[in-house]
Amino acid sequence: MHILVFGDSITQGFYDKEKGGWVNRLFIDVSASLESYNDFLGVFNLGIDSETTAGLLARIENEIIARQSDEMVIIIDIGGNDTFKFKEKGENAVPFETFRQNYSKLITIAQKYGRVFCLGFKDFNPEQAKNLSWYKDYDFTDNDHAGYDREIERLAREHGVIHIGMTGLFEGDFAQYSHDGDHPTAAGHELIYQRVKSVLKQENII
Amino acid sequence: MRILVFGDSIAAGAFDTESNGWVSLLAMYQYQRILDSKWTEGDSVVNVSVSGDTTADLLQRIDSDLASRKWQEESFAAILAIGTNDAAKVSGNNQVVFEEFTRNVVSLVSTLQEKSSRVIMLGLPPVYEKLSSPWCFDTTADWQNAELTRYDAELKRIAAEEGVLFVPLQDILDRYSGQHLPEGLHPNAEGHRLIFERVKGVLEKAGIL
Repeated sequence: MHILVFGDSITQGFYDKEKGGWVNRLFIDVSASLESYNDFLGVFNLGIDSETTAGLLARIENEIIARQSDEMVIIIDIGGNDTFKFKEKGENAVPFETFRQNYSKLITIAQKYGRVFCLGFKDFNPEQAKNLSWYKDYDFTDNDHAGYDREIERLAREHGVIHIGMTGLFEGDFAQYSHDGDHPTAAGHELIYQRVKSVLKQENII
Repeated sequence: MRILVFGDSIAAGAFDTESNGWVSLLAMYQYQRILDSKWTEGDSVVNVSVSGDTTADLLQRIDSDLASRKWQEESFAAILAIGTNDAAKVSGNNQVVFEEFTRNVVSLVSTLQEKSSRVIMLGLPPVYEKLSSPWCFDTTADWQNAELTRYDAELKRIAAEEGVLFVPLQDILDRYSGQHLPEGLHPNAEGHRLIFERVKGVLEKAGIL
């Protein structure tokens, strides 16, 4: 079985200096339980930092085909970067309606190849993020994070795929779980992984 | 500078139950640098490796994988870590015959030279033949050091010809005791750490890290 995880910088593992991110934690855990080659689970981290639903839509099918196996699980972990609102333009990086359409297409494409899981957004702390230089172009005063996140849950339901919610995971303790209000610490990545793992176990994937 | 790694199951980190391989170790090293320097040093490492891939498989996907990962106009270094599956023998023949292997590697290097600012080529690590010939998990596949040495020498030759940095790995793992190669083919955590240290040293010397 191949587990493909598509996403952005958090998927990629930013900045888990201990185990390389929640996807890497899944890979390590699955590897550790290997008893024979026949049980081999390939985990593919297809996160790209700064990626939006538009970027992912352009690549998802090609990348699934290049990593195809008889049994596939596709985890979609994207959308956070779509919500960022540029100060200059006053609009989200990917406007809501486009985001909705993109996300719906992503699920439809992924469903052609395997079982699909959609991850909700990880907790975001604009107060922490707004002070950092690389977020200087964004306006966090009217953040649309929650609205986009709710739409992921709705779309997952509409398409009949499993939604893994992440809201409240960091329980407001951003100092422990987030480096910059956006990217998780090693402890934050572990929390994300444990939540994903419990769902994958429940669904007999791992 | 960002680093993209194109490789096979060894680069993907398969069977390293502690860290998920040398590429992950490199990524974590970079995260540490980023955090320690408060985002003034270090950059991301992206692993675009696929278990089982030969040079022929990589040739099929490299353009599409590159197109999705070319961040605006930013420069990046590309590491090519492939060839072990080409040298494998299946039913007595190399999975990718030598002449085709040569053509594929030249083509891969050419693509990467065109798209990236630096290309680094990894040599092939040895195997522990007691478990790799035939492979303990799949007896139809057979990895022998004589073949790996032959393909590795070709990689080294092409690297020199194309002016690409070459990182030798033939001497880095113990091919006789199996201490780094518990199922004959894939390095364990200790083996991956050795590879990581060597790659890191080369990247530092080249000013990429």
